[in-house]
Amino acid sequence: MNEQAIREVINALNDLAIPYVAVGSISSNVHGIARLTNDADFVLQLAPGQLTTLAARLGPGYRLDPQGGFESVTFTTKYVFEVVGSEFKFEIFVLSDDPHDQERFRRRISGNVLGLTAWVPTPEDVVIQKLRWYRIARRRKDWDDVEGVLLVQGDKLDWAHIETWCDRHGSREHLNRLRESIAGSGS
Amino acid sequence: MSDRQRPGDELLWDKVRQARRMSFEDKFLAGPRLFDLACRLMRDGIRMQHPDADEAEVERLLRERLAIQRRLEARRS
Repeated sequence: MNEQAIREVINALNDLAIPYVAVGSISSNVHGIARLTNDADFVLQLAPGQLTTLAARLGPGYRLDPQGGFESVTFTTKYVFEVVGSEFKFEIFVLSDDPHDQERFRRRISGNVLGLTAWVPTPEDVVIQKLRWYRIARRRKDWDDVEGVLLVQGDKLDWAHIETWCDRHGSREHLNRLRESIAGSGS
Repeated sequence: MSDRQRPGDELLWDKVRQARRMSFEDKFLAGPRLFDLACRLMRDGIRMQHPDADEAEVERLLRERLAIQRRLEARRS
């Protein structure tokens, strides 16, 4: 059921030509170690009126929570689409002017999901963003997600890019601690 | 530090190796699929505990359990 919802949402975004990137746990699952998630987070580059168009395109199987608003951890505007008859939901974040939000969006990469093109951030940008959230909110799952990405990606990461943004976000100390904790443990 | 110096490392490295073998599509869908499976298992458990519950009651109890799980997760964070 959730798989069908993912397909419908990606299909709607592609059909409406709304540029997007799947973030949150979906992106860390793509680049790291998968964990269960009861929501799918997407950052959308929305033109005026497109949220309403998207809601209409998705139809009665989705309920748009009218209480959309500013989100304190990510510093962006968030809307929630609940999948009717399921506990699964989609969290829609509006692409902000934040420099890294913009950079992550610009560098996004695509893959094939259920015959559709789906967009996710690069592994480096998943690390940067999740460490930024960890610094602010101290959520254990963000730390674990980053550890998973570092372990799975091994030596393939662009460390200069990660370090530059972690310095800007004040999260370099956390990055260093994670790197030390996994150093030499690889296989 | 060797693999074995960290608790649970063998299991962790199994997960790392498995993740490296998975396709983009499987990794993209893994979280929602796991949630779907978890809900199905919870519904089965609820039906075993409450054999007289109708489907609406099963769904209500499922939502209740998920809310407890979310509170526990928030407390652990």
